[in-house]
Amino acid sequence: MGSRTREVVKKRSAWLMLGFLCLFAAISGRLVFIQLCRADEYAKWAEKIRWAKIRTLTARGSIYDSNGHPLAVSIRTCSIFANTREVQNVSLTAHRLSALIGGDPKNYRKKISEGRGIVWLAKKIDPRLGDQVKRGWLVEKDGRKRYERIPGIGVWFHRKRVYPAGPAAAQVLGFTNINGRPLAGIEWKFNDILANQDGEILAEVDARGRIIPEAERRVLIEPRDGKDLFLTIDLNVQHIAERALTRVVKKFQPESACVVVMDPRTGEILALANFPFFDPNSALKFPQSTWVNHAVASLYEPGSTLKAITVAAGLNEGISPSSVLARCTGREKIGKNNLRCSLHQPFLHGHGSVDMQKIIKYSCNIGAAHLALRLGSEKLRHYEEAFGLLEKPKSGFSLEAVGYLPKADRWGTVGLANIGFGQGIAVTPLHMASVYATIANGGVRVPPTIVRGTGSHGKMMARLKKPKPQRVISRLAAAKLTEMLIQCVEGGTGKNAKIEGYLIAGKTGSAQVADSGGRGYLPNAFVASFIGFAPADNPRFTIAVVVNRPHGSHFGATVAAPAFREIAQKLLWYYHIPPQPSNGGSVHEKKRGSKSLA
Amino acid sequence: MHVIERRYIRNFDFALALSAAAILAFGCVAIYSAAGTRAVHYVERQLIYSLVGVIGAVLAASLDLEMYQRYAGKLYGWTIILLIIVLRFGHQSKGAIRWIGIGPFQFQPSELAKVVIIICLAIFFATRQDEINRLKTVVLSLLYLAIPMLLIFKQPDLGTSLTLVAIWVVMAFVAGIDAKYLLAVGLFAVLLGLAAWCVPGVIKDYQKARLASFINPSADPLGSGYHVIQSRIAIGSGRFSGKGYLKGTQRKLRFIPEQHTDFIFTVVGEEMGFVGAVGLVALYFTLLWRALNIMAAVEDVRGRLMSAGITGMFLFHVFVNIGMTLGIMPVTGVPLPLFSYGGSSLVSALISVGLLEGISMRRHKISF
Repeated sequence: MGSRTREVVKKRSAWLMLGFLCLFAAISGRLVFIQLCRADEYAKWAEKIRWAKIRTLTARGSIYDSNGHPLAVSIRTCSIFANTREVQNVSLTAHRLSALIGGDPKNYRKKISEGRGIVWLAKKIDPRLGDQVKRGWLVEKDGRKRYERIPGIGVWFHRKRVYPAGPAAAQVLGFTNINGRPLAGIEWKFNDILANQDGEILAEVDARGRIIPEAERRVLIEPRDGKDLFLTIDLNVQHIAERALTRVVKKFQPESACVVVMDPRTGEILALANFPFFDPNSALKFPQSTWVNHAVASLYEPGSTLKAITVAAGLNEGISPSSVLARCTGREKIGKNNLRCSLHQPFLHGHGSVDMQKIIKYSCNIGAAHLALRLGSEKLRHYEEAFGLLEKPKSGFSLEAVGYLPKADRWGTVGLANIGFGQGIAVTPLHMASVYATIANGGVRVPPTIVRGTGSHGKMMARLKKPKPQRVISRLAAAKLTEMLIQCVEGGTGKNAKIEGYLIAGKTGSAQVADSGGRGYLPNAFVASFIGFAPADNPRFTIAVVVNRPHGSHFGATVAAPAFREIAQKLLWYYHIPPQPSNGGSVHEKKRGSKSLA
Repeated sequence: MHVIERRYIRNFDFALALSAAAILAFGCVAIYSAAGTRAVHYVERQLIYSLVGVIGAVLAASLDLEMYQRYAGKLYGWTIILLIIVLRFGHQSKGAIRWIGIGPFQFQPSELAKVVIIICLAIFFATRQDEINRLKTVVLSLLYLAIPMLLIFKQPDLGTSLTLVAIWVVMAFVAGIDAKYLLAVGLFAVLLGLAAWCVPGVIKDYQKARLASFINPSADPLGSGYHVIQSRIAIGSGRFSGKGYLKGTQRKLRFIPEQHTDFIFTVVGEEMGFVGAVGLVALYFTLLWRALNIMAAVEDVRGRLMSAGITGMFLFHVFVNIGMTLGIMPVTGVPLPLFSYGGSSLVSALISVGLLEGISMRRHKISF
C-alpha cells in the first residue's frame, strides 16, 4: 500500500466517522424533539385515537291497541349515500350497488356524477341490504375470496316509524318525522314515554376501530329504548267505526266527521275515527287539515244532543218527568229571539204540552228552553260543568279543546234559553260522548281515557293512573233519563237507530253552525249528530257520531243515526250480547235497585 | 501458539461483544412485550436463533481471511443459486417471496447475501487495490453487486436491495475509489431510480405510496401514512420515562403493525420512554464505534474493507429503521439488527459481529 493510498484511507475513515456521528446526532435530536419537546401533543393524540365514540341504536316505544295489536312500531332500516369526493370509479360503483341493493345503475351513476359531497342513493331500505353494502364487494384474489369496501359509499342505519294499521286511528296516533321527532297525536303527547335515547359510549378501540371487550368504557349517554304504550283503542272497534264513517262520508260528503266509541263503565275510548283520513306512514303527502283530530280538538255547537244535560239537570233537581213545562206551537218569542222547533209528523203544529219526556223524545226546543229558564243560568251552568264540558277531558290527546260557555251572569234570557237546547255553547264530540257515557254509567262520570298503560317488549307492565269517577247526577235521575232516551229511539226522532231485539238509548242533534266571522248562524250549515248507548239496561258502549256540514240532509236522524245503528249492531255482535227475549219492557223493571217510574 | 492465542484474546473487542449481547437481550425483552399473546413463543424462538447465530459468529471469527479469500467465489455462487431458488420455490408471505422453509423455520437468503456480498466485495477491492481507480474495477464491482441486488429487488425487497447499495457505497469509499466515480455512480443511481419510478410495475404502488406519505403523512393518515403517524404517536406519548414495561397502550391496541419486527423501536419508545430509546441508541453507538475502530486499526485491506462493509450495513439498518419510526426516513422494511424478531436477520447480524471480532483479533499481520 502506497503512502498516498494510506492518506486517502485515513481521510476517508475520518469522513466516515463524521457521517456516523451525524446520523446518530440526527436520531438523538429527533428523539429529544418527539419525546421531550412534543410529548404532550403526542400523548394527547394517543389518548384521542384510543377512544372512539360509538353510537348505539335504540328504538322508540311501540304503540299497541288494547288487544296487543301494533299500531306504531319502529323498525331498523338504513339509507345508502355516496360521498362523491371519495368515489373512485363511478360506473363500477353504480354497477356494484345495483347488484347489491337493486335499482338501475344508470340512476346511481347519474346521481353520483351530478351530485357534490353527500348524495343519497337509497332511503329507508331493508337493513339487510345495508349490511351487505357495508360488508362490501366480494372479490377473488389469489384464489382467496374476500370482501372489498366500495370506496365512497356509506350506510346510515336508523329507525323508521311504521304504522301497520295504516290510516286507522291516524289522528289519534299522530306521526313522527324522519328523525323520530313526534309531530302530532299520541306520539307527541306521550313522547316522554315513547322517546328513546340513542346511546353514546366512549370505548377503547384497537387500530381497526374494534372495541376491546374487557377494556374500560365511558358511557356518555346511557342508551335507552322507549317504553311501549298501550291504548284503550280496540282495532276491531276502530275498523267498525271507520267503515261506518266511510259510508256516511260517501253518502253525505261532509266537510269532516268523527265517531267516538267509549266504554261508559271505564271511560276507555274504544275507537276514535276522524274523516278526512290520512295515512301516518306518509303523513306529509296529505294536507295538514287531515291531521286534525276533530273529535277532541274542534269545537262545535252540540244542539239537541245537549238537551240531555238540561233534562238531567231538571231530573236531578227533582222536577217530575211528566210535569208540563211549556206549550209548544212550533215557534215562540223569548226576549228578542224567535225560537223554533223543527216539526215532523204528527206534530206539524207544535209539540203541544211538553214535559221532559217529550223534550227528549221529540227534541222540542221550546220545551228545553223553558226548562232552562226554570232552572236558571247558575244551576244549568253547574251541570254543564259537572258533566265536564268546561274543562279539557285530559284523556291523553294533544290539543284537547275546552268547551266554550260564557259566565252564567252574562247569558241573559235569550242565552239561557238557547243553551237549554244546545246552541250558544261549544264543545267537542269527545265531551258529548263523555256526557252520554256518564248517563249510561248511572250518573257517575268516568273521564275518558285513551292510554291504558305502559310496558316494554309488547307486554304491559304498568297501568296509567285512572282518573277518579265522580257522581254528576243521581242514579235515579240517570235511570229516568235513560228511559227517555230509549223512548227517543223507540218512537221519537231517533227511530233510525233502532235495532230489533235490543234496547238502545240515544238522542239526535241537528245543530246550526255559528258564523266564525261574526254574529248569527250560517245558512245551510249544520252539524248532524247522534249520540247514544247500548244495551240501554246494561250499557257496554257509548257511540257518538258527529257529521260536520253534510250535504243532502242535515238531520241527525237521517245522517248520523244510521251510522250509529250500523256501529251499534256490529258491536253487539262483537261483544256477543244476546238480544232481549221481549222488546216492550222498561229498563227499570230489569234493572235491580232502581225504582219504577210510574 | 500460546503467544498467538494470547494476542488474539488481547485484541478481542469486549465492548463490541458486550454491546451486541446487550442489544440482543434488550431485544428479547422488547419482543416479549411486542408479541402480545404469543410472547413466550416468540422469545423462545429468538433465543434459538441467537444460539444458532452465536455458533455462526464463533465459526466466522475462527476462520482466517485467507480462507475467506479462497472460498469467496464459491460463497458468491451459492448465494446467487439460493436467491434464484427463493424466487422459484420460495415461501410467500405479505406479498413477497423471501423465505425458504426448513422444517418449522424460515430461512431468508437475502439476509445471508448481505454478509456474503461484504466478504466478496472486500476481497475484490483488496485484490485490485492497485487499479482501484480504473473504470473497469468500478464497473465490475457494480456488476458483482447488481446480480444479487436485482434478484432481491424482484422478491420484492426494496429495503435489502438498498442495504446492498449502502454497503457498496461505504466499501467503495473506504477502498479509496475516486470521488468522481462515486458521484457518477450516484447520478446514475438517481437516473435509474427515476426511470424505475416512471416505468409502471418496477416500483410497486405501495412503495410509491410509502414515499409519498413520508413526504406528507397527513395526506392519507389511514392509508400509507398510517404507520408513520402511529409510530410517532406511540414514541412521543412515551415521554421521558415511558408508560412502563408491558403498559404501552398503542402497542397493546396494535396501532402499529409489525411491532415485533420492523417497528419494534416504537415499543421501546412508548414503554421505556426517552430513557429506553436513548439507551438503545447508545448501545448501537457503542457497537458501531467499536466497528469503526476495528476498521481503522486493521492492517489487512480485506479486513478493513469487511469491517467497513459491516459498519455500513449496520449503520444503514439502524438509521433507516429508527429513522422511519421517527418520521425522518421513509418506511422501508429493514429490521433493527440484533434487536428485531427474525431468525435470518439475527443470525446474519451475529455472523457479522463474529466476523468483526475475527478481524479485530487478527488486526496485526502475522509476520513470521
